[in-house]
Amino acid sequence: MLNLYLTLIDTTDDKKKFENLYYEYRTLMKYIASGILKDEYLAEDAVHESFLKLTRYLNKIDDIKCPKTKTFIVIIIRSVSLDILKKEKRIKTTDIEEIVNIPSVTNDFLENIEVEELVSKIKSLPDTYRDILELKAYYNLSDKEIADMLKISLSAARKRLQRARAALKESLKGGEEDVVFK
Amino acid sequence: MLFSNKSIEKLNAAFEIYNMELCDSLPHDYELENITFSESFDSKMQKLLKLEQKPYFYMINTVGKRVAIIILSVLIALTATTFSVKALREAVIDFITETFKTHTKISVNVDETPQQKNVKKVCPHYIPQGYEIESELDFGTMYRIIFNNDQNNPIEYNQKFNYGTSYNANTENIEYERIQINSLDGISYTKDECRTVIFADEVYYYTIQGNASIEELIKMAESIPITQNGFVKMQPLYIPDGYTIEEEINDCISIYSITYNNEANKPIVYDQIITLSTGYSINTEDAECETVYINSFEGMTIVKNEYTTVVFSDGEYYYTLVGRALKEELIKMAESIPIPQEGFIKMKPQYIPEDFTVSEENDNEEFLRIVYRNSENVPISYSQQINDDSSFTTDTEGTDFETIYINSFEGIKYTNKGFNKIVFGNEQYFFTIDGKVAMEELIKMAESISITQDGFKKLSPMYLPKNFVVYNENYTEDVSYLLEYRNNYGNKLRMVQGNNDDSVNVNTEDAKVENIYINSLEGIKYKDNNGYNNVVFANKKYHFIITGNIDMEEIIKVAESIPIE
Repeated sequence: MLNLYLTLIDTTDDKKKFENLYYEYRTLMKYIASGILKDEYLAEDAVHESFLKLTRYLNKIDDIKCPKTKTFIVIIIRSVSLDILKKEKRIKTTDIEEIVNIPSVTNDFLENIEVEELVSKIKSLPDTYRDILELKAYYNLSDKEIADMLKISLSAARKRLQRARAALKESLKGGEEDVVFK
Repeated sequence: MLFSNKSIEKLNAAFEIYNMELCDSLPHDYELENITFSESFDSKMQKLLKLEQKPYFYMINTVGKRVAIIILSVLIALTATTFSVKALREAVIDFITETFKTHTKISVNVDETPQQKNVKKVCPHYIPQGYEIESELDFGTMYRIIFNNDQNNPIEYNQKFNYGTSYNANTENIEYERIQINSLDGISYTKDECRTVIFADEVYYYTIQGNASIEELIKMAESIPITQNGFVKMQPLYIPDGYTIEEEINDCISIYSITYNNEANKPIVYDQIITLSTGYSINTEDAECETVYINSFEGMTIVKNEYTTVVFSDGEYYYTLVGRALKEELIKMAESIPIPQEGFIKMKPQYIPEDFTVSEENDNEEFLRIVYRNSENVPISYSQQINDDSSFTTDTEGTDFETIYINSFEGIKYTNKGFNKIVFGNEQYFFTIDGKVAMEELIKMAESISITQDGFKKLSPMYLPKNFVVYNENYTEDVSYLLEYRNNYGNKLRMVQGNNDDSVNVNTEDAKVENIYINSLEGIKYKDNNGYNNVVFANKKYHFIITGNIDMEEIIKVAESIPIE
């Protein structure tokens, strides 16, 4: 992790935006974090850490209250909470990138798919894959930003993206090949 | 390409719908009304929200580059007389970018707006006869002292930033003279009986105004210790065994560099480089890079071939150490650089029960948490957090807790669900230690945390005369702090810092005692019976006695480098 970061927000607009985000979403964030962590104080830690993280992505946020922002917040708090849970419980996880082969995927496999079908397939994806696809395609984060946000290495982020894409393709095909998740 | 543009459009449309559905599935605001936050969380977040504009710095990849630094030093030496500092800095950036653009680059993005920084205060050491300090005002970005005498003829001294601004003196219809103050350009003029001397270095304007004679004002100006031009040199206080200083380069503007060497000719190079606008590079191909924390400043180690580089930054300077010495030794050197720390100072237990090692470490600006584990995976959790005047909440429900004293700091100990726990604090921090290990072990850990008493802040000089290294360090419970330095030639230097609640007694028998000002603090200097030079001075909180068998000028320089607020 070469990207060192100190603090923080450097414009008045961003400060205001940050403050608004805090008051708009802090309870929702704690709600989500508590659901994952089952611990009041750890949940608060997760909210705090998520806001620290958020300072780096304020440029991705325009409208405070829109679904786009809300989902972004959900992705961040979920990712931070899972990371804390992993540390707290010392969950032995094998990185998904290590156990799933990447099927090769052609570029245009989405072209003939209806949006409605795509939505239902997106919903059926595991959070890990759905989040990374959304961060990449919808929020337009760079691979490096994704790696930073999800606290994984750049190469792991790239692999996960490829696999998420492959998983989506498989799912659209009808799930003939199972993908193993842990 | 992960997806074609067409696919991305489709995905975006799908995510729009998915997001709306997800948001609908989340609880509404009214359903979240019963969610509350602890006081400590609230206070933590309020601080985050209130954060002032801070320089924000990031390092993109890596470091090192001895070659670049040497060339850089030469470049600066060659250009220093002809370029303004700004031009010089631009030259530095261009140079580095061009030469190393194929390499990774380290950069620190510091907002140069001077209003966001505080003046590093300096003041005249010479004051005309009969004058005393009447008032001292620190505006953060400007520092002012008013001197006055019995006849009420005040002299005003101002020090303020000169970045990107010009100084406007109203010299209409006035003849002014160009002057030089210790080789720095300035002007002097007289208007309505008021005489003014203005001059500047690369960082500050200095003005002295009053109706004393121009000669007196110039004498005051010349006595301002601005040899470092805003660059505050800092050198490691720890040097590995067998090493001595071989070379010292200081351009007073951007770089301070020391080469240490030993008999085996394995040099260690230390560089302190100003971060303003500079960037530099190292080829990190095939290098092992790791993140490190040097006294809470983030940095990294780079091991390539047999060379190790340690680099970190406090936002103001880069500090690099490069050599073939052990990585641990370079880190120890880095940790001994006396960078004044503000805010949260991390403290860790020095004692860790047998078989336990650090398993996790997390921290932010107000919080440090370390989990230690033994081979059976039994955890001990340690945390340190800011005592922000709010109460500390800990769950002692259904437990019997006892009051304990950890190095005279009050706390409690209790056992909850098989976990032994200690909570204690001082004025600045709360500390908690818990784990399924004997309470005695936790107490031993707690006692090993080097907390200073009652907010006593140990201060050490940032300047040391050449070749001096720490010889002895001692902190006593009667609240005094002693630091002894020695060089290889039998010279000694000692600093004692004590609480200023009593008068300070020093033996000045037969000595010629003179009054001096150390960064505007009143003090005395004298040579004692043993031939040692002494400087004694004090602020409201501490007194300092600096003694040594070295030149008085050096003792004064040491005294001036103590980072007193």
